[in-house]
Amino acid sequence: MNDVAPIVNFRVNGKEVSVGACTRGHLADYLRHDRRQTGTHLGCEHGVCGACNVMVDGQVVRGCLTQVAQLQDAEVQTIEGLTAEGRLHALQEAFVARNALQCGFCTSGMLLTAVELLDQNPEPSRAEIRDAISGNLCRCTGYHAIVDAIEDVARGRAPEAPKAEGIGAPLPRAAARRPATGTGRYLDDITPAHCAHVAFLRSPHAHARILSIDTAEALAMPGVLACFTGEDLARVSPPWVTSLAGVKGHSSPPQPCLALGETCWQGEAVVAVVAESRAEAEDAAELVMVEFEELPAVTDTEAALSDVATVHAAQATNLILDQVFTVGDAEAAFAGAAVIAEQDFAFTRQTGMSLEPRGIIAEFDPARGEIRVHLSHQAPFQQREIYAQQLGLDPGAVQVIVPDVGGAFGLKLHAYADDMAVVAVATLMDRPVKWVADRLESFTADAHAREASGHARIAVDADGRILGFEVDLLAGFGAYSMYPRGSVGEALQACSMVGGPYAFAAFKGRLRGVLQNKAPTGAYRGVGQPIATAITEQLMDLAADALGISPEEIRRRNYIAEPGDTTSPLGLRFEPLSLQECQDRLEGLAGLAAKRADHRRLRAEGIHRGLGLAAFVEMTGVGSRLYGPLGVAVAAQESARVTLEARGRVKIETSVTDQGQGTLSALAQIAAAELGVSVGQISLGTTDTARNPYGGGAWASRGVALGGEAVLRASRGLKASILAIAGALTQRPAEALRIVGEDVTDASGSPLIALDRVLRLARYNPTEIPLSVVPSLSVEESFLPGALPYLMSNGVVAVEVELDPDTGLVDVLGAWVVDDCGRVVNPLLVDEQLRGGLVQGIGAALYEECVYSADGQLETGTLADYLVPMAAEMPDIAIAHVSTPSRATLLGAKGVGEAGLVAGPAALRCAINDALRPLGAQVTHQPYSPARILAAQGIV
Amino acid sequence: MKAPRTEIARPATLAEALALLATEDARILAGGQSLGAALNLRLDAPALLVDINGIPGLDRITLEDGHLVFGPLVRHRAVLESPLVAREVPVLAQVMPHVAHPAIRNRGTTAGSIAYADPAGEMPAVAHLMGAELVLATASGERVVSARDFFLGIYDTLRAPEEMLVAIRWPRARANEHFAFGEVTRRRGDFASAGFVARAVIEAGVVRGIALTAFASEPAPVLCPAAEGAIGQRLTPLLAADLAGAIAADLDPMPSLAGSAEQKRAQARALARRVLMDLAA
Repeated sequence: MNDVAPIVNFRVNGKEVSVGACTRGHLADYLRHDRRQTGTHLGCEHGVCGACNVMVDGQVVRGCLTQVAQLQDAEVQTIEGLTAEGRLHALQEAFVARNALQCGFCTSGMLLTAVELLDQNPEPSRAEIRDAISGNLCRCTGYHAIVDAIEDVARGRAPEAPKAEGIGAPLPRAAARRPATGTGRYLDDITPAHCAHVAFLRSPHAHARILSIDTAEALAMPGVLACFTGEDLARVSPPWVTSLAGVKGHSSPPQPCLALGETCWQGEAVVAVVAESRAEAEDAAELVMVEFEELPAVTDTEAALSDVATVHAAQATNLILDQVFTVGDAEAAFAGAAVIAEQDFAFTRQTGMSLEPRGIIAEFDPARGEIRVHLSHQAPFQQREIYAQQLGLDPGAVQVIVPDVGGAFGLKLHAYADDMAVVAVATLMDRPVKWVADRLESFTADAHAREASGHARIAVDADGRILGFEVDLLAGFGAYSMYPRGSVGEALQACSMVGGPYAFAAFKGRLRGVLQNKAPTGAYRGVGQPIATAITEQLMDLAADALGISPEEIRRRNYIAEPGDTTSPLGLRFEPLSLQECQDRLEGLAGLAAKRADHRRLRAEGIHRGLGLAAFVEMTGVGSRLYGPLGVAVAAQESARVTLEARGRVKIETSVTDQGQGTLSALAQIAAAELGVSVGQISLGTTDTARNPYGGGAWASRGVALGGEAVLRASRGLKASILAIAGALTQRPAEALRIVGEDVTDASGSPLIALDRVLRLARYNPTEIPLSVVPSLSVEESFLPGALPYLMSNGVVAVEVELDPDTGLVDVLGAWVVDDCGRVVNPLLVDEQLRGGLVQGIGAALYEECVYSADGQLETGTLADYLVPMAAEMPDIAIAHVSTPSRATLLGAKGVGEAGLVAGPAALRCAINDALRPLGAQVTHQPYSPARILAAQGIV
Repeated sequence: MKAPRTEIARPATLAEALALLATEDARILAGGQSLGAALNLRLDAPALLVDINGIPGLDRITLEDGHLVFGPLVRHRAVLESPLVAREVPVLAQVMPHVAHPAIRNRGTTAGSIAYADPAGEMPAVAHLMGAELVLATASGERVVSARDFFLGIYDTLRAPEEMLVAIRWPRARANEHFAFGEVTRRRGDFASAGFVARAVIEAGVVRGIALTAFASEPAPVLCPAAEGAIGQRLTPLLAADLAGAIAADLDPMPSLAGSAEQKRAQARALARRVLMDLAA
């Protein structure tokens, strides 16, 4: 054995380096930590996701699986080396131009994979491109735009640059250049000086009593600074309770930072170990001795109802939601129906699986009693209030900063116990502390979603008009109702959104939800709407089949077609919708009639294809009527402060947060259009509660719909201020002036005075301005629609599948979306929301499944087991827009973030069952896996 | 998760590497595509990694005594790109695109894949089908075992911890020999739930010899003797369906996250029929 670790010499982006070989540092860790080149990201650290791909001797390799010891004499190239002397590589330019990246966390690895592909195969087909990048996981884009961008470079074509910048222009995001060059700054890219690192010992049991904890051996390990138990942290951050005033029967026990005496799901954090490095903290966590006494685990939702065992020893019942909705006379509707169609449904748990895991850095200043938290999150103000409440601090003493976020999808909307633990630990340490979830922790402790099962019926008259729906739904919530919004939203929306796009008079719903010894469930893109849409659209197809009419026809006969605002039987509020127009466009776009004829012909040849149609309404820009009455401290308004700065620049500070959607870029586009300046003059502030005006952040597709409106109004105010000053200075009426670029001009566009001059006079010499009051050149507006609880978008999606009945495999051949999100601010951004959402919908329908054993052990803890969509299996997705601007705002935009995932699983289910119908089979349990497709046919 | 602390040695010769393997709780680090993941997940914590990447000459593909011989550092990508491989053992070139993804193939080694013996691994199945000769070496000598005997179960082989798979000797394909491959995966590059690789000598449409190895559904690659029912016959769809039924019935699939035993058997039946028909095509 060598006493001294051998030395390895290699080059990184042309620079000679020399390091001691040690397996502790795989190449990605070495680049990120030792070389501080953080463009190489870690998404799974077990070789599946490709986020850490780098080049070694011109070949792409996984940074996480490459040991530094293997690199003697090698030439390593990273994303940082792709940009030569500040000039972007053609692929980087193409990715930006096509908006082929959203959060950007996968982009470094994806780009290097594409570089290698084009080195080896300069003219790949789209299928070859998809195949080559099928080892790189992108959770945001849906891959279509990435394939476009690589194809652009291969074909030597550049997408046309937009001729205008105004609202509606497909303007590429300037902000996309950072992730495209590896200079995005995500949470784990930040490490304050003297930062200590936390690793958690997590419960190996779904339910157990904690008899004893011995940290002596762990504390003696090298680099270990401290170990904390639940009791230790409860003293500084006591258990909290998720309380939803007015939700009858809802109760969730007090939840601690770290398990207190009892652990209620496998993966619940039990002990926090703090050390000089993450690796040392993990080494020590393995030596913490915890004596558990296993208790019965409640996992199955039906079994949970019996209360033979309870999820928490102190809780009398597992049932925390039990409601019956009755609208109209459902019994009469079903008694008088010409056709009653019905089906069971079951949705297995999923998780949002952002490629960037959750993470937090907390720094406590005991002298000032202030804490600063860097957090990968969607709602920083919500977290500021929560941390202040937990630590007994003034809210102003808590600063929450959100750096670039590598995908969120709802799962980064919650207050997690492990985040709370890190904040509590920071107050007990004299140095900053950091924790970033590894992928296994993400799967066991991130919010899960969707677990629901039951039965649904539809009553239809002889003309195919819907008389009513009946739904019986049982949902699983996991060990706690998630803080602070609760876990019941999914089940409530799954029920209340049934029949959303259609007119009907009667509804009966029974809704129950139970706690389980599984990970808590929370928000995931769409929240309940994907379930409601899948149930509804499946029933529509079944009813159409029973009546002998087409799926297109039955929908056409039932769409809500009121010209004005309406309220549905279930209390949904609509502005005018455009469902029929969307379907008409879709039928042409997808060629539905010809496809159905093809399918009949192909069936005779033993080829089993199916079409699925899903109409949807999407609840976006949700206002205060959701959480306000429940007593949940969550802001629903969005705010913006628009400020004129020197040299004609305009700064936007906003409560809206951006996880890669491009929301902030859209806000810049809105401000530029409203003011008359170019988008290049706008600068966007960072996400920081100490700087930005108050608001919700990112949830329920609000960024452009509500935040955009706030920006528009603030920009309008700023423009009025600027023109008032300019008018006074130039002795002209303000109405006769305009802003064009960096100048105030007359009506003909001739410059009169520079914006910079207006600012300088207003700031430094206001007495020169002949106004009694010089208006402020920083204007803040906050917006929440007064008349509507939310802005309802709508649309129709179609997918075509080919089914292999013998293996149970499903091939998605094509997908088409016609969406109406009101006024489209930037189609490049909107299309990628639709595509990315739809691909997550395909994932939900075909692959994604958090599998638990009967005793509550999660069996899908890696990305090799929890399957998400990869490029090779995903189709190209065609998109068209219908635009019915909202009348509740000046901007007229509605949200679009969830549409694809609201409708995708429904369209897939309908398509698969369309293909299965001639075989006398139907699938009812999502995901529609080979096992379930074979079982439906009676093959197994 | 971060890998546990592990010593690492970088021997300059095969002899040094074998000596290290004989004395330590050691793992061979070749491509590291499975080992790296196991370390990062803390599923494995060896005392020593013996990195063989610095030993010259281990990455050669050569023709010797009628065999195509792979050194232990022959990477998947080199196999995929080798004209010699395509000519002498074309089934390797045919199957290789189905092994994982480009970034994994760039580092992963064929010997590593065979020695690791993942039940869903394609390379163990091809080695099994071809009856490749596997040369296992220790500091004190070598032995040769047939790939037909090498695989014992899930990640379990005849290789002793102190042995290294130092060469794979592939028999060259015969003239008139046809190969076929199929696997059932939900996504490209995933671990399969059922798989077959097959060879046959077909003369004037009549099967003169045939071998079919099942993998993925079984703990280790296994020969399907029922396929021999094709000998002396033309591979018609009807015959292929009959044989596929018998082949699937003989299997003993292991249940896993990828499916139940019965699901895998059903998939294997459908797949066997297609693979047999591909042989005839």
